[in-house]
Amino acid sequence: MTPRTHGTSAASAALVLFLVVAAVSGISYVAPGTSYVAPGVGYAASGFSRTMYAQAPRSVKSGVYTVDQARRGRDHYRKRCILCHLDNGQGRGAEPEIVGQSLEREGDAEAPAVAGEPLLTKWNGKTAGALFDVMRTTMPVGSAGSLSAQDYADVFAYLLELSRLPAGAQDLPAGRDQLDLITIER
Amino acid sequence: MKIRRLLTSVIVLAACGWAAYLVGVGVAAQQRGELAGMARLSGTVTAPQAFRAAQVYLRNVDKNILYMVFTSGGQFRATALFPGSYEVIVRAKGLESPAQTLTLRAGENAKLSLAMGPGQGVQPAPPANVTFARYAEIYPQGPGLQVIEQGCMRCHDENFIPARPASEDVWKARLGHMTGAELNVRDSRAYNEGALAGRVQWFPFSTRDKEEFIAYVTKHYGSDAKPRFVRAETEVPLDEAALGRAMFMEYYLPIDAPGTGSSSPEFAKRGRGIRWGQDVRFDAGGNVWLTDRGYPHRLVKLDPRTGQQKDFPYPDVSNGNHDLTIDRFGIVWAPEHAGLKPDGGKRILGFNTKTEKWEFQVPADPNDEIRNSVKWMQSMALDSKSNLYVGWIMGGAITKYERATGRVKVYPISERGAVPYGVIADRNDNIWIALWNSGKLAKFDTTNEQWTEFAPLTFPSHIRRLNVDAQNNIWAAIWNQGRRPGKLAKLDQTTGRFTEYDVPLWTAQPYDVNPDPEGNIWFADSPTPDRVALISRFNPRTRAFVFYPKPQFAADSPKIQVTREGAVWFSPRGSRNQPAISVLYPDMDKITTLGAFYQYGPPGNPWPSPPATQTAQR
Repeated sequence: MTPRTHGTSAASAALVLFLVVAAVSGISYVAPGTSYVAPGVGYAASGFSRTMYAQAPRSVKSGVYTVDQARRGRDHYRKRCILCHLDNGQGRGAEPEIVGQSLEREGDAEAPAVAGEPLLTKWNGKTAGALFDVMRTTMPVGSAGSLSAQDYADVFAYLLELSRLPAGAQDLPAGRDQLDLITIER
Repeated sequence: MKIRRLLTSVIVLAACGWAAYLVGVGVAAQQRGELAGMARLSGTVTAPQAFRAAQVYLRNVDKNILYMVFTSGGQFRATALFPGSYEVIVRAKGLESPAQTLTLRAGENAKLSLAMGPGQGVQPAPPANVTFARYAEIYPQGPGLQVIEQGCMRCHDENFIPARPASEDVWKARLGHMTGAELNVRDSRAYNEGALAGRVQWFPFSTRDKEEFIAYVTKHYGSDAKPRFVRAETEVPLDEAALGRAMFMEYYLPIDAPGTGSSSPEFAKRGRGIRWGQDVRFDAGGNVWLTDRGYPHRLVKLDPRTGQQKDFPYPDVSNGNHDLTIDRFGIVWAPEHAGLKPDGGKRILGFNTKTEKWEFQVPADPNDEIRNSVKWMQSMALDSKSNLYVGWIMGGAITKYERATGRVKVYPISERGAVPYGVIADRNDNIWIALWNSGKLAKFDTTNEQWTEFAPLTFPSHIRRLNVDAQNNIWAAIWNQGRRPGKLAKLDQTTGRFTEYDVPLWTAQPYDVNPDPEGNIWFADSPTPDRVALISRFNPRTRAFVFYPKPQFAADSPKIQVTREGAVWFSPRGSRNQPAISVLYPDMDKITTLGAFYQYGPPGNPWPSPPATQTAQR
């Protein structure tokens, strides 16, 4: 038996195993460059298939977070973000300017809108990884990086939910490499 | 012998008198020469309904300078007008005229008639989604109102809360910010954060108070509420006779070309995209200097006699700027504030007006004695030896920069959570500081380096600025608080007693206070959404107030400076569209020069400076 033959057999076995797991779990693997369009499809607890799934480039429109994750993110948002970005991520731009109160806000962030059309317009065409990095390295003002990577990902998920993007079957990942495969689209 | 001595005295006195006369004649002739080339304009304003003190705006298109005068009995006049092309418009409450254009020649005394009709008038339209209501309607009686009136309104005006309806979650976060909920795990980022923390505030902010506050604001200013402003319930008292003699001028700052300066890609968003005048001071030559807090930061020099301006960028154009002062050697001192780098190192900067170069960049806390990771400076004062004392508004200390030796020393302020706002020096070289956090005045005795605190009769309160008059009394301005009026407070240093004077004005927010050579106290007052911004005069002898509506209704002006002739200089800081260097001449007939001179020269004390020593110029 040559190593080549052995390798072929191993590969064949792996393929068979994958097809079995895929068939059992109902997962659809979509080749890179195509859209993943099956939010809500049962996602197997298979490390093998998760890796393949996560490596597929996809859009924020394709269900890249879960409802549960957005709930967790909302809790973090209420504790750490809502003071400046206000309800629903609307930002301070929604507040009326009061005559006589100076333009001075030294030490305060400008607090732009972080959800909905303003968010999607600003980040259109960029990766979720890029936005994640900005969140992690600048927010909250004064204690940037004070949340765990998973907590930042949960807050990100909540912002996607506020932006009326569909939830899916899989949590938004907290790894930069995986987030770079997700493109933000209006 | 006696006769001889008497004769000598008479001759000396006569010689002095003659010399003074010659100097006076020379100065007067020079100033007459300066004003001889100017024009005058007067005229009549009519309207279909009665009006008082209509505001006549005359904009010199060539020089981009605005003059504003008031009508008295329907008549107006303006003087010291630069020759050139003008646009003229008049506005009153709910009335305005179409613009007229005219050209004024040197020495001309022109006449003009203006007719107003219904229009927007002087008051800008409020934001579309905001409505006005009476105070009692916006703030109904109930548990929680006391917390707002005694806690929040000490600093925030009555529009701040109802203009920002939000969910209970947001209100809880706001309360957490004010009570410093996160300050056990990180440093404070702004001097307002934690202002209501248990140990540094003066309102008993119990758990019950917090619960009542949240219940009250959620009920009245919750997610379903619409933004509201409190309607001014009294008009500004206008003295037409006094206003008819007054004239404002505004020298507009040139707006940066698209894509450059404050409109550059670097600063258009982060730096608000505008120029932003803050603080004015005079040099010995009659020029006015301004800190432009827009980005890039600039120091601006204005020669008011020509209208010519010149800008000088700061060494670091985004590391924060705020106040300035000018010493007797012609150095402009300007400490670094927050800017876009609130946790960057901060320096005391010095600009030489003769060489037009930044010649001093002094690290202001070289040994990192102020432990907060975020710290910045704001106001400063010069003692008689030209030593500089700078307040760390974010840091609770002052830095002394000794001119003769270059030595820097930091002195923490005794009060916990101190937020030093205005800083001034009295005639005995004591340094006085307005403590924003409590409303006290703190005195730093420079001879023994000891602190003493003084609480005004109205305490706690909101005080930002203070000043000293020729008799060495300390004056401070106390903002209104809910139904409690704003006040001017005087501390007589000889008796240690305070006297306070109510400002008869809706929502008075008296900011800077400054004495004039006649002993009047001038103060700037911030506007409300339906009450004009003001420069105001208080006569302590008669206790009379006169209020002068500013050309820009909505632009607050934190700082004022008064000339030897009683002209009041300021910058309309809150202006979004028309940043400027401005002046009020209370009596236009007394203008002898458009130059701005302190009574006793820089740094602007109301007493003569002692002889300068060469060593202080180090």
